[in-house]
Amino acid sequence: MPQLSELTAAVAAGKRTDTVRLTQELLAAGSAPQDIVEKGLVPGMAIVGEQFKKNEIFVPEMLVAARAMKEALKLLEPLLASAGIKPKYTAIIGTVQGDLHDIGKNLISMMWRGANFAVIDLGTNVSADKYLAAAKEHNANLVGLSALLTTTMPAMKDTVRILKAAGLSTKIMVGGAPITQAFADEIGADGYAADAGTAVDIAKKLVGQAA
Amino acid sequence: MAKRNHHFSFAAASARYDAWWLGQRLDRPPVSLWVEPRHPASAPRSNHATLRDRWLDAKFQVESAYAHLSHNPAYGDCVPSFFPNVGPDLVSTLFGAELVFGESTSWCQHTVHELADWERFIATPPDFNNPYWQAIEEMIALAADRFGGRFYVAQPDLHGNYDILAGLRGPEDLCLDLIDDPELVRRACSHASRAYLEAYRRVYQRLTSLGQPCTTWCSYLHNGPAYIPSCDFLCLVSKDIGEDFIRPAVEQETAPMERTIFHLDGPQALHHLDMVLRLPRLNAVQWVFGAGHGRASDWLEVYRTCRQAGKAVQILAEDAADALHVLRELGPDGVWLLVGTPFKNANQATAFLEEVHVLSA
Ligand code: B12
Repeated sequence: MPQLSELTAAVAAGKRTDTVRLTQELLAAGSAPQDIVEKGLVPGMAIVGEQFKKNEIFVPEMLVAARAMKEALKLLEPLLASAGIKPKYTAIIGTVQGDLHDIGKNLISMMWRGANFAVIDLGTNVSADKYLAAAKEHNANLVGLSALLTTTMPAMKDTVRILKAAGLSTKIMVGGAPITQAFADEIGADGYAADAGTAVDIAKKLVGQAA
Repeated sequence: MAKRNHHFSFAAASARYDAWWLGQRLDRPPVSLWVEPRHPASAPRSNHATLRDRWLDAKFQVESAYAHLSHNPAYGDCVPSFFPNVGPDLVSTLFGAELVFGESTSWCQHTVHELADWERFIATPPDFNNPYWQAIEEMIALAADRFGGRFYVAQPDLHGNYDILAGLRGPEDLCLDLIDDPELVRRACSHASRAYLEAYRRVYQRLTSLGQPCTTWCSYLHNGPAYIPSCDFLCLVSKDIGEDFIRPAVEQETAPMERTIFHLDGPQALHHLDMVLRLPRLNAVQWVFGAGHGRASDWLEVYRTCRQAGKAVQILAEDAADALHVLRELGPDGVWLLVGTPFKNANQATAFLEEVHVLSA
């Protein structure tokens, strides 16, 4: 039987064929799907997040790792669902109204998935109402807002205001190239991260899980 | 002492840019600045049904530019020119990509849907007979005629190399393709770069035949082929990919140029600065640090690195104080100052230009 650490290495290296094969072998040998996710795949994405944070790898390497994980999850998700196992935390993510940039947002979404959050991705050009409706519907622990344009930073501010005014307990995280910690504080967001690796650490802290 | 004239003068500005490209200075560095208009220009009103109609209406674009240019006297070295524009993805449209128009920009719809589609792309010659290219040509002809030498016509924005591919495929899928079949993507890029050069050649010849100088959205001047090599895709990739893939493509695209200024976009692209500075045909760097990343004064190290590598720099200063601070720190050689915030009035603009003169003595 392969070791979970081999699966971790395969995900981190973005080797999708190996990732799928190892997942199948682990399942065949009787490993629990939840263990495969939490002890095999998730640590792989954590390695990738750390490397990205330190500028050791860049977007293509992140994307291949996420693709490998996604293929493995296709095998695992039906098994997890039938066993009634769900990720502990739910996050909503999207790019704010007027903004179509989504590469950064997609990386955050992948890394949160990689950290075993259930992630509902609302896409780009998302209105405040849409975030609010989704946060309510999914009882989200976390809402992530991305903005890449100075012209859409006001939309981010409005969205935070509307989400806060609704009185939900959901934590709000913001990010994107022109966003700073100072801006995040000014608009009343609960967290900010400059990159996808840090975004996982902060998200875990915000939802109360040990980082 | 005779009072200096700070209105734009083609001869004086050309001479300043000539020196700047070579890392030197004449009387002072070139300066781009704007003055807030006192009264709004009486520009033609748009009655277009769609944004697309407005963007592609050559007559409307030229008349709007004419109204704006006649209304706003140019100061310093800011070339009073019309920039024929349908957005940066013009070269992608030569391969069948359709543009989607927003209020102030456009982007293109993807036509390469899977890795294997690149072979089809490589077999496709660029088609200059498309509505976007035709609109650009029409704008150039109309403007040259309408301006009668009073204002200039600039070259359009042409994204090159991997930005052309990203326009056709989407940047994320292009990242994956680069890992899945790097050599295929490299061949695709070489094809894209050839189309880019052909596009440049056509524009250059057309404008030169109409007696226009060589300038573009970045308002330098040069009497000969000059352009702004760039690759926004750089911010997504490693140094290795920058070196192995992007550098050769940019070299291909700069080979016929006499003068070049690299547009380096965003802190996430800064790890490629070394590669950029080693480009053999590069004269200058336009470093765009972007919103949320401070002022030009916060990036002196980057400017110094460029200057030490023998390249000129364009400084995107926020305001006069920011520009003067950088000028004091770097000295006037090989420096071009652009002041982003418009001056309140002509007096303030000329006072600033005087100060630049004094600091450059
Ligand atoms: C790729 C790109 C595009 C692509 C977008 C493709 C796509 N699917 O996203 C296209 C060509 C479509 C595009 C269009 C436009 N763009 Co653009 N684009 C870029 C570019 C080159 C890279 C952005 C990017 O993807 N970076 C890589 C990712 C990984 O980084 P990131 O998004 O910053 O994300 C990281 C962090 O910020 C953070 N993060 C991001 N989101 C979130 C969210 C949360 C919750 C958290 C915690 C963290 C987080 O983590 C991420 C991973 O580390 C930048 C220039 C640059 N160098 O940054 C310009 C840039 C952002 N674009 C710009 C502009 C002006 C435009 C246009 C208006 C005009 C144009 N034609 O270029 C249009 C706008 C369309 C619209 N309405 O949105 C400007 C913005 C200027 C400003 N400050 O307002 C920039 C800065 C270019 C420039 N220097 O002028 N663009």
